[in-house]
Amino acid sequence: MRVAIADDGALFREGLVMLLRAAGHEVVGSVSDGDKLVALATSEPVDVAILDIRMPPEPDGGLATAERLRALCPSTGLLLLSHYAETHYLMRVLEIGTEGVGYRLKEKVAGVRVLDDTLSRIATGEIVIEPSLAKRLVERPAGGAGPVGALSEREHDVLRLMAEGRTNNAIAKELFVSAKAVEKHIAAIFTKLDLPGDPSVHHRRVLAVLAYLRARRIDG
Amino acid sequence: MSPITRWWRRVRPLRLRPVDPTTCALRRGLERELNDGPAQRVAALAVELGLLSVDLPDDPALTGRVAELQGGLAAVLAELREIGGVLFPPVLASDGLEPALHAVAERRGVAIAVHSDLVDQATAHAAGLAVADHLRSVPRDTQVAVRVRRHRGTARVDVTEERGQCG
Repeated sequence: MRVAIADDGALFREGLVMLLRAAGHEVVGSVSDGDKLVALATSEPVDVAILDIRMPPEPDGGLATAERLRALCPSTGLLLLSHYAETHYLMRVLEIGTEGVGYRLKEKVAGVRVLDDTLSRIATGEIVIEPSLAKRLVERPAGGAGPVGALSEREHDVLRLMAEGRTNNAIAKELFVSAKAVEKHIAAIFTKLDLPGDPSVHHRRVLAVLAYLRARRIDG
Repeated sequence: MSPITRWWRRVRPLRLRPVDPTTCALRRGLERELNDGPAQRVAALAVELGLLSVDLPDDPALTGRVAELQGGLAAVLAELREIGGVLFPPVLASDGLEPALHAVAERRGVAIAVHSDLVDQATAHAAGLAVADHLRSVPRDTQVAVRVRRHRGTARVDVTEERGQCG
């Protein structure tokens, strides 16, 4: 895979370059700000671009740059990295694109396997979301009130993995159940939460779940 | 309102002290230093450790110890992030008052509604920090409404809280 990185923290950036090479990827560029990344990605093909959210041009150069990149090179996957896992940034990432995008904490992509997994999911068009953020979003309200509280424990696990952007097969593997069982759980979740949209279309399903969870946390 | 849970509306006077501009700047600077300094360096160490494990022999005991160290570094970063978020909520710096208060409330498990007139950045920071500091002392499952109004060259911030109690 051809990968480009933009981060103003040289130490982290150079480490990531070495990690990418160790994972067998080709690093086509490693730059310190968004403008340089745009120049790079428009001059040669990049499969996935990795961007630090907080970098020049200020104040949130990573998001502005990701938006420009999506318009200029729609086939390039985007992985946004941050020190903070915030729903607000996640929603901004999803406004930029709903296919081939990811939002993860910096330290959570510090291993060859997890970095590789994140990048290949993005390259195949999936949405990848930091698990701790997905977990926070699906937390049951105290007392188990509300529609999320009405989900069974297994349905709750499935909802959490859906909120991470996982596909049916990945959810099945994680929970040691069949893909057919996952489909049944998802259908039940969509009914119980009264969610709109087609539960079989992957990215639309992730968006429906995230929009629902976010609205629930904000409006109580 | 559910019939099982009885709600009491508790109205009590609440005095929020606006955070003065010097303190705002100081807190923002400290958060930035924390993010660009220690947090960035610990994240780089995590990558370094990830690189080291590539070269390690296939030994479950060693792999386990590296995983433990990775967990340790992630915990340090989580603590730094917590401190950074208290010093200056990152969303307040990047996106302003309303999204920032939603973000802080979400972390605290507090439901919030924010209505704000358009205010300048200094006012947004002063009001945002004051309300964010207050939200940390509010029990989970409280419903908070924040109203920011401009009035003759000043800004008025009203915070209303509604707490649920099991009866």
